[in-house]
Amino acid sequence: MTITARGLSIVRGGINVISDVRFSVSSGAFLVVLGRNGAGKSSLLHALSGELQPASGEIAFDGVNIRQWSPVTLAMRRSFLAQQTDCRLPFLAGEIVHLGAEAAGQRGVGARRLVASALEEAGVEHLAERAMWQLSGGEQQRIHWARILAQVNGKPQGHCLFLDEPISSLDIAHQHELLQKAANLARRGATIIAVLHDLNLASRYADQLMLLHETRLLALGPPSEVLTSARLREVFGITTHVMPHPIDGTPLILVGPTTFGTEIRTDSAQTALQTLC
Amino acid sequence: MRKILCLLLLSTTLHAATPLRVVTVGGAVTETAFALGSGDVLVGVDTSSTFPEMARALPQVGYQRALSAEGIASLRPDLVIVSANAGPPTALAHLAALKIPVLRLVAGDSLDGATTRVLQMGEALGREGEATKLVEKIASEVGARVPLAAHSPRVLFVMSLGQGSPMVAGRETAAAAMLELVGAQNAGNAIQGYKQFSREALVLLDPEIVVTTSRTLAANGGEANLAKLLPGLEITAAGRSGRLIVMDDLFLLGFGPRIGEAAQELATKLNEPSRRAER
Amino acid sequence: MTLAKGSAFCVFLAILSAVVALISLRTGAVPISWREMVGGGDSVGSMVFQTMRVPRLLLGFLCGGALGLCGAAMQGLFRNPLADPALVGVSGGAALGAVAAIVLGGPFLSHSIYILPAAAFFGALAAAILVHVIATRGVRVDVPTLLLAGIAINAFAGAGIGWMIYGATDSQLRDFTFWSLGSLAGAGWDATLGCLPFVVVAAGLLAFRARALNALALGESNAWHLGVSIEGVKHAVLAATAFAVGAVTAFTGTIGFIGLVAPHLVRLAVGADHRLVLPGSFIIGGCLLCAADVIARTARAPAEIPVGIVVASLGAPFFLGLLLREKRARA
Repeated sequence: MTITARGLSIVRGGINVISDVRFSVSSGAFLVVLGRNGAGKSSLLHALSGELQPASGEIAFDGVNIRQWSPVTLAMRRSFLAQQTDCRLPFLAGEIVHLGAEAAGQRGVGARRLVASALEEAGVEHLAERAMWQLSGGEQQRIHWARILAQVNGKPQGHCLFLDEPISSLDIAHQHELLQKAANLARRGATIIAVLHDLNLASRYADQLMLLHETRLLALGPPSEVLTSARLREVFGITTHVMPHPIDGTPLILVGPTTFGTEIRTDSAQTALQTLC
Repeated sequence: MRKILCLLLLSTTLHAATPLRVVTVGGAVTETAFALGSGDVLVGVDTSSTFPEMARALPQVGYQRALSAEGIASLRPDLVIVSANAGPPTALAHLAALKIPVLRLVAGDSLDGATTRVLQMGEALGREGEATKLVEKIASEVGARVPLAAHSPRVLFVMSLGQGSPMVAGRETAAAAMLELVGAQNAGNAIQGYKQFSREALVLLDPEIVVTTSRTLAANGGEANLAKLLPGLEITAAGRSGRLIVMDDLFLLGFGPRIGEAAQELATKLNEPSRRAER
Repeated sequence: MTLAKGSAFCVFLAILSAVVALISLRTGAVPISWREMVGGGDSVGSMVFQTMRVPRLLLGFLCGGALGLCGAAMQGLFRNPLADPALVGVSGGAALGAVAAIVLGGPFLSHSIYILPAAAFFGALAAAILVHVIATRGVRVDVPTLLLAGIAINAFAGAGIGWMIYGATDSQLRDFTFWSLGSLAGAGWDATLGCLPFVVVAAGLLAFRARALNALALGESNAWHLGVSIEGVKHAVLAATAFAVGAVTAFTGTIGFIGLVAPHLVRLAVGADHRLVLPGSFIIGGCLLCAADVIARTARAPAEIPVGIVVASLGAPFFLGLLLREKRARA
């Protein structure tokens, strides 16, 4: 699915978070949106998924303005995984995944089969009969990931997955597992748009990075182009050293030894710390 | 004579035979049934039927304004006599649908009301003779009440509705009607119905005598002490002379067959010289 | 939810309803023979059966069912298992309407037995509309505002009721007290047939919303992304509650706890899927109220205990037990 945005501006709580952003993402792309807290990353995702009404501008899926898509059709072509989901009613994990299958238009036996395969893909079949409130935060998030996979309905081509900081509650192994699975879906034709905080994860899995800074789209391109020390200093105010991964060359971002300010020789480190504190 | 003939005629058209199973709803209604000698045909009474003592032993059909049609029907009555206050209307409608005769007595907290109700019940129960005698008895009792001393005293009637603190009886209450019957002044005349009065307002009314019911006294400490009953009263004329009269609820306010006795007793007590009230 | 579990539950509900209905029809102050029940006729027994027992059973099912169904829908709307139809001001409005009719209606009340229920119903409707208007901007219903508006309207209704009580006579006070305790004693065919259309409308509004309520449990954002019309389901739940709870409260007075307890029992048995919880809450709610009514009619025969007292006496300990259980489970 191709997603295009033109002249996009988003206002939240009276404040302009994004001004005049334009870009295009096509099938098979894995786009990660980076930026500081409050830079508008989540808002961008919510606007692109059709939930948030932008102040101005136009968003189109496959050339058709999303305002013209009905919510039911939208649900069959795109899914959204939030950072955290609260559920106070005693649903079973399998029932939650079933919601994704229903959104994809499946019912009855077809839905149950889809739920089973989604649970397997997400590696959580063993949790299907447990109540959601009994699961840990990370397990719950993986169940929601299974729900998203069910919504994809085995047809990644023409589907877009929006992932809003999807891995913050997962352990390192499951973080990689989820992102790897998303990358696989992208290779099969899905469009992935994700917000991540971990620069190295973004560098590893994304084929395109978008850097948002002070309401503007600062950079859009492959990780090797976007992730430079100068850029990272400009956006995040931290000192980094970017070097290629020893085995496959993808950019590795190392922070420090002093995170903020310029490099200082060790004997004046004490004085520097005293002045800073 | 003609009156009796009319009543006899009416009674034959209404009831072919004397009812053998009767449910009475209303304290005064039950009392009247016993007073007419029909206590033995009663098969059910309501919660306010507290006199005579035998009435309390009869099966209960509940609160008079929340009757249960099926409950009453299960007692297989030939006749149900209810006070004007009885309800809910749907229950009475159900009884009519079940073809159970229901006699609704006239309303009216007055001597006329009381006597009409006695006569109504007399004819319904086939006790017209007893009813006439009872009416005469009431009339003579009321007439024979001790007339009040020189001036008509300012009397305040207070009563609790439920478990709350006592409220003052104004116009259009049974209490006001009783006070009028014995010729006393109702200190609460300025208001209508029962209302709560602040301490200062009570002092302003300055009653000479306070009357209350035994149930109210029991719900407010049980002591015949004006300050405990309704704070503020102790500063009034009644408080200074300790004049508190306590009488039974149904007896005083029922406007039933004992109304004559109640009028006599109230008048006598109102005339008693001031002294610390005793239980 | 497996097909087997759903079917077993339906069979259980059918059997439970039949048992409760049978017990309810056979119990009461007046003894009724089987022949009188089935054969009809003119005897007191058959008359009581036809004009009182049967409509009372049906009214009990309709009221308990409406309360249970709307309780489940409210819990879905507020995404909280402790929500109750009273939250959106419906019961407060009904009570205000009723007390106004009792205290101000005076002479008119004896002319028609419909004045009190009509006043209560319009009070309920007015409260629900007010709450709805306050909480809605454009098309969107803001659920937290809905909750606060409901609290405010209930408080306002309470104030109005206070004023009425202040001016009431002794018998009016008693009448209102008994009304607010809740009772099926006024049940006849007119009350039953009066409630029926409203409950049917409410059931219709909620009939195909189970999937939407399931999705709503994940929050409005997730529900929207799953393709559900969230504003539609919110409006439907509010309208259904206003009609159904308004109508049943009008005829039977305020009966609490069923809206809270019935959905819980269903969830304990078959889980949270609204496709089972909505109809299940209706049936369980109906059975609970009918069962409570059997106790209300027989414990002090020939007098009757207001059924609301029976429900509260059983409901309150259950509710406390529920809270303790949830507290322990989430510890």
